[in-house]
Amino acid sequence: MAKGGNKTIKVNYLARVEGEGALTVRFRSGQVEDLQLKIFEPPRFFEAFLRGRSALEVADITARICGICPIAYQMSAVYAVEQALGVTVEDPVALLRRLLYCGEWIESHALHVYMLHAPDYLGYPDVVAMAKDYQREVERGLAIKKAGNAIVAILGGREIHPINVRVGGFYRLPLRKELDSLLELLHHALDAACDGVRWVSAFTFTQAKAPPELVALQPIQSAVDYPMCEGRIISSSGINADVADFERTFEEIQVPYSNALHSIVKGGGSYLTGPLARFHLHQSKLTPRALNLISECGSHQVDLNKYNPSHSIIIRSLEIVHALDTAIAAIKSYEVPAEACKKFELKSGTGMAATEAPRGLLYHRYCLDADGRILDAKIVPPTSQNQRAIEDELRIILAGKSAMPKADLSQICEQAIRNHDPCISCATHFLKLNVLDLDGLSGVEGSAT
Amino acid sequence: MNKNHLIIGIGNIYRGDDGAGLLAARALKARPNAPLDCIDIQESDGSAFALMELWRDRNHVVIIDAMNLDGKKVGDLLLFDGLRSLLPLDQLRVSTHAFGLQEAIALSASLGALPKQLTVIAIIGADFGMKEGLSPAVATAVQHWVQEFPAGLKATLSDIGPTNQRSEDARNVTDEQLNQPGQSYC
Repeated sequence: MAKGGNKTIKVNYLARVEGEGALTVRFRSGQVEDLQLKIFEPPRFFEAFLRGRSALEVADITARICGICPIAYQMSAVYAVEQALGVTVEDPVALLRRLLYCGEWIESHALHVYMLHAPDYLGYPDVVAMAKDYQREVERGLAIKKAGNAIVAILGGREIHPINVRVGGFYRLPLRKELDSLLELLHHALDAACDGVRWVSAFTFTQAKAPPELVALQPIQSAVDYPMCEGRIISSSGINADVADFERTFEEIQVPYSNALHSIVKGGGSYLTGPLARFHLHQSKLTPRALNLISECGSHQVDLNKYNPSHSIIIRSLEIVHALDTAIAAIKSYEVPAEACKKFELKSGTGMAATEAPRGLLYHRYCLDADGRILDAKIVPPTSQNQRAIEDELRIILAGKSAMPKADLSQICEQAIRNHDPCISCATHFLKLNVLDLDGLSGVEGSAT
Repeated sequence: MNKNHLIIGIGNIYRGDDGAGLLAARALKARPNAPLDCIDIQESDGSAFALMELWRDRNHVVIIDAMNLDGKKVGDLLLFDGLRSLLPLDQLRVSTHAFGLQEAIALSASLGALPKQLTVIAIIGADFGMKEGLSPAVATAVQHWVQEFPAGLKATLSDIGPTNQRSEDARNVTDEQLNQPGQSYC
């Protein structure tokens, strides 16, 4: 028997991730025999109760999917419905949406970097313990998050589950002075974010890994932009697909141990979306300030060109800098559009859109009837897409480690999962429901999501 | 506005009795009453960072929130000293995400950013299902608390003493506590 023998590692409740999940790893003869990232948070049936609702409601309904990334849901939803209705928003409105999305990246990434992830690298059980020794750094994280929240509050109407986004534009345009009032806060946050990159790049990292297939959007409108609000889907192994072909390129499969579907490349295997994918596919498109910080990372012997999931804390920190730079530029260049919302008529059609949520690519599809009622909806969140890639990565990480104490293995697994900042609450909108009609002995199988 | 004294109503009005804290804060704010003019009253969904931002640089903070606690009568009001960590915080209906009141208190303590006094008033609820409106007993409790708040001001916005008791009935604060030397609340 190989050293380590048979062993089962159970992390019954993953800490410092959004939602409820668990991990089970079975070793046999020192090898990983089985590994299951279990998402047991109950399904929430969002796709099901979108059916029959007006397409005009998608922004407000889908915003409720997640308290951390509601903007991502709103953006993918309105762009998909607008595609179905043949609506194209004006450039200033698109700019405001990008600004709003920047706010979400900033607050979400700041939460993860400073409150959830940094304790892993510094040997603390959580941010409360870490804050006793790293008060300045935690305060920095709070200041950055506050800046992101401020953007969302002004453009979205409130910080959590914003209410100002609508199909065709916004309900209310911000006043020039409201946006200007953000600038000082954003500049302070930008300074803090740059210090944050320098801080995390001095952490100790694990060895580089062989990269999974990396998938991200590639902006069409501006080839020089880092992906966020639109684009084609590209991958490190050569996928180059229109968003309309998402479901012909990827497929969702059910696994018995998880309430979230797994996504794989059709005819292929797992893939990864999110900051690591965006960075490795589009690194050169970060703002000059963020690119300069990458050079500084080299002084800590950190080579960001090599795929290393433990570098994700640096990459998120760089994306915070990028988002703050982008937000400041957007505010400075903003010109009030002629109208808050484009006029349009409801009609039948199908629209698909994908945007880059903080945790990765978020795909929405809506089929509408002639009155604009939703006949069918499909939502594929990033955590659902990343689950299998996370499992594959854990198998690689755990190879040869079966002899380690269980507590150490658990810590390694949890940290590896947190590298990808899974949002389990988002992922569990999916349940393949089998209803057996015992009288008629007929089975009804459907995607009751 | 940065008044020293702050009342935060926490809750979700779409989850039945969970809305008690929010509705109490709204009712208190709507009530024309001179002593309350010098107290800031805010609403919160209970997320840790929002709470920390609200109570940063405040001296005295009162939080009112709904609680689901076995063995307690629906509509009872319990008074806790939030700085002594004796709260059954897992019973408070706060953020759906990982950071709530418990984390806000702990993190503020680590950062040295706690108010000097943090009082938590918990209203025992019965129904936290997805609906609007309070249970009758909870609605009555909120109404009484709002009406009686000025009388209990000294008890809730001054040092409630070196008690280590887990909780005290907020409607039965002792005369001794009520008669403690008053402070300027403005």
